[in-house]
Amino acid sequence: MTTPLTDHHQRIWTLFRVFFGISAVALGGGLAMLPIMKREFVDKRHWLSNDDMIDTVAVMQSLPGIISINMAALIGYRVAGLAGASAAAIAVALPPFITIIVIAAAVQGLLQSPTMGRIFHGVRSAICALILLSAIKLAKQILVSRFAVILAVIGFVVMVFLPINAIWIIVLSALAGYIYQTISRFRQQATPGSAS
Amino acid sequence: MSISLQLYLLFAKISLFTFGGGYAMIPLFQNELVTVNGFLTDAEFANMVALAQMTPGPVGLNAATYVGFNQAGIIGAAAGTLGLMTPSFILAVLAAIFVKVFKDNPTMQAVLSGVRPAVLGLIAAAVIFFADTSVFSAPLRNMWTAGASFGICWPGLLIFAITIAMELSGKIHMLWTLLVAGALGALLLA
Repeated sequence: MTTPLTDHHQRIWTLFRVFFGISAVALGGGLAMLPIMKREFVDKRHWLSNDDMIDTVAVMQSLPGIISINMAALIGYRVAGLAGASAAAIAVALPPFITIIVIAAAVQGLLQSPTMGRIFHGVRSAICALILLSAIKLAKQILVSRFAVILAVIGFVVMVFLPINAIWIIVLSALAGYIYQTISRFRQQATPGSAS
Repeated sequence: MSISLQLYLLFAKISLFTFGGGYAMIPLFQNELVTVNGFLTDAEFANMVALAQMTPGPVGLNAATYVGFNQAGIIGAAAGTLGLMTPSFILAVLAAIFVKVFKDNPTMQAVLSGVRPAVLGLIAAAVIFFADTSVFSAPLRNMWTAGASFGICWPGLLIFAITIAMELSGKIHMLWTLLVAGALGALLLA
């Protein structure tokens, strides 16, 4: 820490480089980024502790939005304040921004061709399978109570059968979760004999 | 309201209600981009998600860039991307500052105990949406619409089954799975 300004700049630049690299390479993004961040910021540079990483993951899971942007802002802020958060978030957004603009400009004509249409139909079938597999994996973690099963079924049925915006499903399920947990807490307090 | 501002606000709204990232965003995007605003058709939207899945970077950012670019060029792409980033960024910085308030907060945990299963239901609904444009030859809802016909697209179903087998083997990178699916689509589909 002999020259703090340089150290600060170096931290910002490193954040930018690491997050740009992760975003440009990692397909799908999200939690898959974690091991790389642990290696770069905890093991290699000691800018964050293991506890910092655990805190970050805990907090991140209750934030709405793009997981990789949440993670970039949280870790960037811890490492180098607001400038660090901004550098990391911009670094995450740039690779997809550039890639998609190049592809979108090229693809618009291509998608009209029948062959491209068939290729994309094949890919859509595959993505249907990928989403199903990820839903099954999530179900094993989430469907641990009758309350959870009921909400999941309602969410599915309403989304598929009724013309209701998904935002309302999120808002109402948040409310349901809050009310349900409040009631169960009251019940536990009312019957102190029951196991808590 | 200019189209860019509209895109910015639209994606900021989607971002604010997205929990779980990735596939969890699909129903929200579909609602707002296809049903409410008519920026894309169902098939275009499904292709856009397919494209986002095949390119690096988070699916949500890819989608915002793609739709923004289609609607209003590079400025639109930037507006969509920034809109999607804004709530995430502000909330994450606040969370980093007030870590103790956000961490293991009982109210937030109670709210999430409801949101998580509902989002799972939305992801399951996204499976049906994708099947409608790939594995089924006509949308599933035709089954209970009088006079409309429903059918299975057999090559699509075969690609669906092959993808499941490839993924469950656990050894193949997803990009290869998608390339195989695309190649099979070109060969088998009419």
